Amino acid sequence: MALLEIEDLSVTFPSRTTTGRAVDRVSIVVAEGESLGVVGESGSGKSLTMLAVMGLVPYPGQVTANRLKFKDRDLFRLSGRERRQLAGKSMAMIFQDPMTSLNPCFTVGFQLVETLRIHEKIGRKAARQRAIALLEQVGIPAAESRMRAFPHQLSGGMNQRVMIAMAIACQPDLLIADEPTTALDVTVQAQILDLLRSLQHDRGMALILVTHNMDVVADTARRVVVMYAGQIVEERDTAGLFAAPQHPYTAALLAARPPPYPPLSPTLPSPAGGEGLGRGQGKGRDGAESGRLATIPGVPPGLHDRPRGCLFGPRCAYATERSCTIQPEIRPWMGGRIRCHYPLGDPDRNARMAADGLLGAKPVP
Amino acid sequence: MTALVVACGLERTYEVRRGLFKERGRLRAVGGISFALAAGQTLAVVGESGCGKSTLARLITLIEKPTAGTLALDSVDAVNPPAGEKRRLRRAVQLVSQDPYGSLNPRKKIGTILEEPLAINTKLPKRARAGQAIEMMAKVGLGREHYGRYPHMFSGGQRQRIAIARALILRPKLVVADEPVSALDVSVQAQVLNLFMDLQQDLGLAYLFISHDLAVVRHIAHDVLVMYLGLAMEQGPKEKILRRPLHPYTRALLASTPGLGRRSSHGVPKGELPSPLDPPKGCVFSTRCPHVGERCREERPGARLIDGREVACHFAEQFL
Repeated sequence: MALLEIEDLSVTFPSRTTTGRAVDRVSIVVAEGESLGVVGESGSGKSLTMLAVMGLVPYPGQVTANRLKFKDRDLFRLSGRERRQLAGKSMAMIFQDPMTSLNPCFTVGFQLVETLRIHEKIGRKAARQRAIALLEQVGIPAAESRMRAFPHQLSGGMNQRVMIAMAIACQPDLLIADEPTTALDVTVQAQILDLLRSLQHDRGMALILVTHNMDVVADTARRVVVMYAGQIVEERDTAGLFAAPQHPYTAALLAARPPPYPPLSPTLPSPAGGEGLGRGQGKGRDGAESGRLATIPGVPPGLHDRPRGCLFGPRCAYATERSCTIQPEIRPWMGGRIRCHYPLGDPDRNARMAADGLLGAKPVP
Repeated sequence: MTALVVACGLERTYEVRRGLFKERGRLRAVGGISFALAAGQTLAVVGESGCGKSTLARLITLIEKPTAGTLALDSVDAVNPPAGEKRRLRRAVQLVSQDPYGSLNPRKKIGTILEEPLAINTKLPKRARAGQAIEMMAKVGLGREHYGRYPHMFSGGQRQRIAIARALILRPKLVVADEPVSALDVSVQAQVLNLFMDLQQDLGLAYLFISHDLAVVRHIAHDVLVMYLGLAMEQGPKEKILRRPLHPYTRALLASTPGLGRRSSHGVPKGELPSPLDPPKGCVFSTRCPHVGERCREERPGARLIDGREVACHFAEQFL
């Protein structure tokens, strides 16, 4: 059953002359217990979509949608009070920077207990016991003494654990994690991702992981939504997306990453001659001294200078005259969705691109 | 060929006040790092935050003096440089910092920013300075029209290009880049990394490239230095270290790097960096190491040469 249904959600920021559409007709369905990854560069509207779901879009942003339902309740029909009861209890959110999302003036114990007392309506003692149990569950050693610690006394990883403890305090059905590990070191990032995964698994909680890091998504989510300039450009199961991306933007993003390492196997097979392990794409400095990364020319469009036609058109290697005039609609494609006239897996895309007048983006030095 | 940079046992300690009547603590940010870096080569420094990589950058860029050890730039002693040499040495080493939003003065035009190093360090007339600035802008992929604009008019990637241009305008021999691409989006990150590599080829620059992103390091580095709590855990050629890491910490870093089904959760180290004010008695990594033994807690391992790289671990052979 669908836990969260978003249909044609838009977030607009009106200004005196124009209206900037930061999120443009985004539709996402999240099933119960599912893990979904939302990836995109900065400014792609991924965080704002999630803020809209939580009801946290800052003034003067305006949220519109055909449908915004959580557990079959229409979020637009709820009063502010009802919505606040939902947010933090049934759906919870973790933010990027744990240092600034915790209140520096109160101990982490106080802040945890506060969440529990407001939403669960339990006594001070019971809430304290629950809070200690939660801190232990998210892997904070000496939880009882850490209850008295202020956020500045804890490290970034520990603070993020406190945030997670707070988010899962009321057994939410949906946890939205907005760049939960961006501010953390890799070893701590791995710990936090493991924690999120096991929580999601053990509690049957749905998880939306918002991130700019393709590798993090590959590791954590079952299904991926790729956003660009406020729109969804591709949606697919994770393995399929990484094996054969269909949208030129997704493909370009994947190609722009330096290739990852060969996995460390505990048995450590002997690499013959050095080369050969790894994916051997000839990238990096293994072979050619001038190994270059594939780049996407140009920069993403700003809020007020969106191009006509396909939003990725000006940067796309496969853009045609048709792309520059007609914006592709999102449509079902190979078990997922795509917003492109010429998906990469389309057998007759070359013929259709040639017929429509291939332009291609000009390379930028 | 002699190396451009030779560091030997570089050490930097800070005195930290812990309270009015308590004894002062000694924080060893960098504890004995040695390396040699030749022109046209890239040494990548890898480690978690707090491991001393940025302090190392400050030592190499002559912003701070080491408390012990020697540093030679271009075969000249850089710790106590001979009279008159200091200015020349400082010109030879330039820094590109992490945050392209904080490192450019918002009140100055790009042209002014780029000409300032020339105005301070050379006697070039105004027109020649402008010419050099425009030439350097072309090198990093900016146009002539950007000369009179202010930093806020540029995107993150373009600002990082400006920061690189400013670092290069005095024709340095060594560029120290402190996490230069970690604040950038993936597509822009690739552009800037390509730029770094092109410039190295054209100008024969040496890079000290500080990063926590192992995929980036693998792409750009020739040699790798893995640091933990101010000490070198493993250092040597990239192929050796990244293909078959011998130190448990390097292995932990690699195991923690995400990627499609690549990460094994059992390789991820537990806990966090211990306080540098109170480092473990034996091996500094012993508190988090999955392969820790009795000897590790008692005796600090020295660097040993194994399989073409230096490893500071008692039991490195088990991974051979």
